[in-house]
Formats: sequence, C-alpha cells, structure tokens
Amino acid sequence: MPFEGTADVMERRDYGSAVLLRFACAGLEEVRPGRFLHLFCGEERGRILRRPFSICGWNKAEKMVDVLVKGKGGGSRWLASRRVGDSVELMGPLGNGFRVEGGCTHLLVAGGLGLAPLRFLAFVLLDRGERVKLVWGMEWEGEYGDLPSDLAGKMDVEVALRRGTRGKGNGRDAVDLMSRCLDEEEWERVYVCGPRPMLRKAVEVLKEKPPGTCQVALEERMACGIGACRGCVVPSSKGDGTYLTVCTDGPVFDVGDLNWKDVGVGPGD
Amino acid sequence: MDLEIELCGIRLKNPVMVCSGTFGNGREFARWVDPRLLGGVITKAVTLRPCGGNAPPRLWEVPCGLLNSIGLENQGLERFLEEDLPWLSGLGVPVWVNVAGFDDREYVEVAREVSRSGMASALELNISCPNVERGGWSYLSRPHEAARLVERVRKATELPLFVKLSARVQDMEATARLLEKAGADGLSLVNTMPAMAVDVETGRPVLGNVTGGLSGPALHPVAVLAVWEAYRAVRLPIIGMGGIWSCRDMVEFIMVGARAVAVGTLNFRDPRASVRLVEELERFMVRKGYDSVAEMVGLTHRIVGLGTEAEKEGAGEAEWKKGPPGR
Repeated sequence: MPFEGTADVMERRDYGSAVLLRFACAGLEEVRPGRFLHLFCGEERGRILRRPFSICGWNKAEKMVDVLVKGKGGGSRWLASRRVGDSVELMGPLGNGFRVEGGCTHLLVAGGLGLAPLRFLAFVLLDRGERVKLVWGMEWEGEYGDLPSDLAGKMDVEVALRRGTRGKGNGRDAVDLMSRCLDEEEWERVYVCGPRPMLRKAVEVLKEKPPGTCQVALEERMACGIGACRGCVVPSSKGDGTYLTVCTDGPVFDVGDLNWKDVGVGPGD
Repeated sequence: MDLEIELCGIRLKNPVMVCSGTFGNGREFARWVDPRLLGGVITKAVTLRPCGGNAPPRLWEVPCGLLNSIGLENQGLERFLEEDLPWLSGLGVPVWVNVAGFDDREYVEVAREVSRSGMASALELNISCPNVERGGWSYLSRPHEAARLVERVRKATELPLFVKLSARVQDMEATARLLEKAGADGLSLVNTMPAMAVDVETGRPVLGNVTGGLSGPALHPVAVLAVWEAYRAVRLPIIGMGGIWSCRDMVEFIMVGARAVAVGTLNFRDPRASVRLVEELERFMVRKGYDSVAEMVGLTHRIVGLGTEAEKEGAGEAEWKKGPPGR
C-alpha cells in the first residue's frame, strides 16, 4: 500500500548543480529501483500538482529514501532548496520499477539526471554480486560535484562530458559510450534513463545492437500519479492508437513496448 | 443533523461527489479512499466505441490551475458495461454515468444501453468537453442543437438526465431554460474552461492537442457564478463543480444553489480529499448550527432577494424560505 503523508529531510548532499535529499519515511513499502515518489513542491506561484521524482537510494533498515533534484522549474527549485529538518508531502512509492534478474551482465546508461533511478538499481545489483557497469553522460565536469567519483568508488563507472571545461569535453554522450560497450562486450541486460532526445538516440543504436533485454525509464508530467487521469501517457507500440501511463504502466518499459516515432517532447526537453 | 440530500429522487448520504475524469472509474482511488463514503461517483466519460484520446502532452499546470487535453480516452461502452460499471454499482454508492459522443446518434445509443443495464443512478451528458473537435462547432455555441440532443437522449432513458455545461455559454440562464424545456432533469456546472498555453522557448503550444480545459482553483469563482445564474433561471437540481479546494468552496456552491457538489482536480493533489471534505462539511454544519444541507441550498439568493425587514415580515418566514421572489 503506497504511503501518503509528510516526511522529514534528514540529510542534504550538494552534488554540484544537483542535490541529494534523504527523507526519513517509515511508512514506505515495496521500495524498488525504477519506482518514484510524488512530491508536493510548495504553493508558491500557485503550484497545485505534485511532481514525480525517481527514488535514487533506499536504506531499508533505517527507512531512509533518497531523491536527486536539480532546480530547473519553480517546483524543483523549491524542493532543491529544502534543508535538514524541513518537511515534505510525499506519496509513494508509485510506478512499476525495473525488472531485475540475477546471473547476468548489466549495463546502466544514464543521461544527466537520468542517473537517479539507475543509482538505486546499481546498488541493488551490486548487493547481489552482479556484474554492473554504469555509463553516465553529462554536460560539464563538476556538474554533479563528487557524485561521479563517489559512484566510481563503488562500481565500474565511465563518464562522458558533452561539453566539459578547458577542452575536457569530448562531445560524446552516454549513448556513444553505450554503443562502444555493446561492441566490446556481451551485455545481457541494458537499462536506459535520460531526456527523450537521448532515449530516442539510444533506441536507434539498440536496433542495430540489440542486447538480451533493454528497459527504459521515462518521465512525464503527472496529475494523479496513480493511473486514473490518463494524463501522463506515451504511445504504445501495439499500433492501435492506445497509450500507456508513465505513472502506472511505467515508468519502466521494455524498449519494444513503445512507439518511439511518436514519443514526443518530454518535460524539460 | 445529517448530511443527506436528495436529487431527482436519488438519496445521497452526503452532497460530496467526484467529478468525471478525476477519479477514474473508482478502482485506482479505492486504494486510498472508500468510495462508499461519498455521496456519489461520476464516471469517466463513456463513448460508444473505444477512444484513444489525444496525443500527449496532455497536462500543463498553470498558476492555481491545470490544463488538460486527455480527449475522452476510454475503453468504450462494451467494456464499461462489462467491467467498470458493475464494479462501481456493486459498491452501492449512487453512480452518475458521464455520456459523451461524436454525434447525436452515439450519445443516444450510450444513454440507452447504460439505462438498460440498470446499474446507473443517473446520466451526466457531456456536451461541453473542450477537447474534442466536432465538425468545428460545439453544442455550447449552439444551444438549440444542445436542446435537440437532450430531447433525443430524453426519449432513450428514464434515468435522471443531468447536462454538464461549461461557463463558456453565451447566456447561462437562457441555456438552462432551453435545456429544462428539452427534458433535462438537472445540471452539472461547470466543465473545464477552454484554455491554452505556449512554451515561449520554442513557440509551440504545450499541449499536443493545442487547446485544453482549465480546472482547479482558478476556475472556482467562474463556477460559482454559473451556479448562481442557473439557480435563478430554473428549478433543476444543480451539482456544483469547479475548483473545490476546501470545505468553504463546497458550501459556497451550495449557498448559491447547488444541491450537491463534486471534487475534481483536488483529487490529484490529495487522493483522500473527497472523503476528507465530507468530514469537514459535517464539522462546518455543526459549528454553524445547520441541521440539513437543504437549509443551505440557495441561501445566498434568499439573503440577496430579501427586500427590507418589513417585506420579509409581510411575506412570512415560510414564504421567505421558499426562494427569491420572481422565480
């Protein structure tokens, strides 16, 4: 049963232009990678809807859940400015989550803030002793502060800097890294999360180099978050004009479930 | 004191319902609230054939409001009668089925079949959805076409027939009278207000459908006026809806003439809002000393319609309580 109530900010870690917020929330159950929390981000400027944020970490023993936020719009800026001791209205976990199988090789492909659900997924897989590699594309060095090096201390991580600073950018992104990894090694399970243009580019590469399975985590503007209003839909590949909800049928889809030609602009694109 | 209210012979345990499209057909929200605690449930719009809905993006928040362009997405009449309606009606809570269509014939067929099922308490005719093209015109801009549709649907059903209007009618009082004459049994006021938004970084409309409907707190004062005007024109029971965000918003609707109210967009903010508001209404009535919801219905009209104290004296309390002069 998903939780709805308030949760306190217990820890705040600034990672460059992003911030990781850790909430204490004893009421959370079925917390799994790929699921999200539907958070109310303050009433300033007449905001009335919650915003969905992927769960990027979970300490089951202490019931602490993490989200990764960048202040882009009014709501995310409000959330990104929460301090330890602040209270946030929280609903979740919602959504389906990644399908996780053991005994495989796992390639995680993150575009920018798309890292969020993949960080949680990586920790779960590593806990089970699985072979995991994370490729993460971002714009600038320092964009995510110490987070890349934090993660590199725990797992096989490769970062691509699209622009970089002082010539460190190499014009490459996570999809370029993914493509090279697929050439070099047999990756049985691939997981992709990032902005829509990045996902569309990844889908093209995956057509040429299909791994065992590929799951894609999307985001979309949501109202109810629980599958009732049909606001957050993406087109299904079934070809009959039907749609799937990102909040409940997703946010994780098998890459073949969606009609990528008609998957349009996403939030913040 | 009790919260019961009667509409067209249907007894609601309280006046709090949920708006079409904001509560699915009950199952998703049933994890959060018990729909049996509500006065009634208004279903998602049902069309004759399955309808895929509009291309996304379908949602855009604006200050104190929401634009939506869902586009009547639903699985069609057959699936509705097989799955959704039996589940809802099995709960024992009064169910208003929202009927939509792309031409008169479709409305009539859906109304007829839903009535035949015996599982609906009433129908809500959706002739005001801003999200659907119909040869370029909408029933709202042609009240006589709307009245003709109501006459046709009237012949197809014995159920109480509510008509849902948006505030964007040329003349609410005239439209209400026209629909009453055509056979409507009640009014649902209001549907979303046609609206749009543009992403100035790209110049593109934010919604895939370009235009959508505005709901939420921004709509509320507009909705209050719509109920006020309709109550002056017709004796039809009114369900007030549009931007209910708190108990006072519900009472406001009732005082300007609604016998029941429906909570919509607020369900997205708080899945438990509808049931919470029933409790808040009860506390309000206790605090103010109202014994029944009926006492509050149209109160503002009576207060405004009162002349001097002497006039009130002359008319007598009972006369005064009946309603504003000239109705």
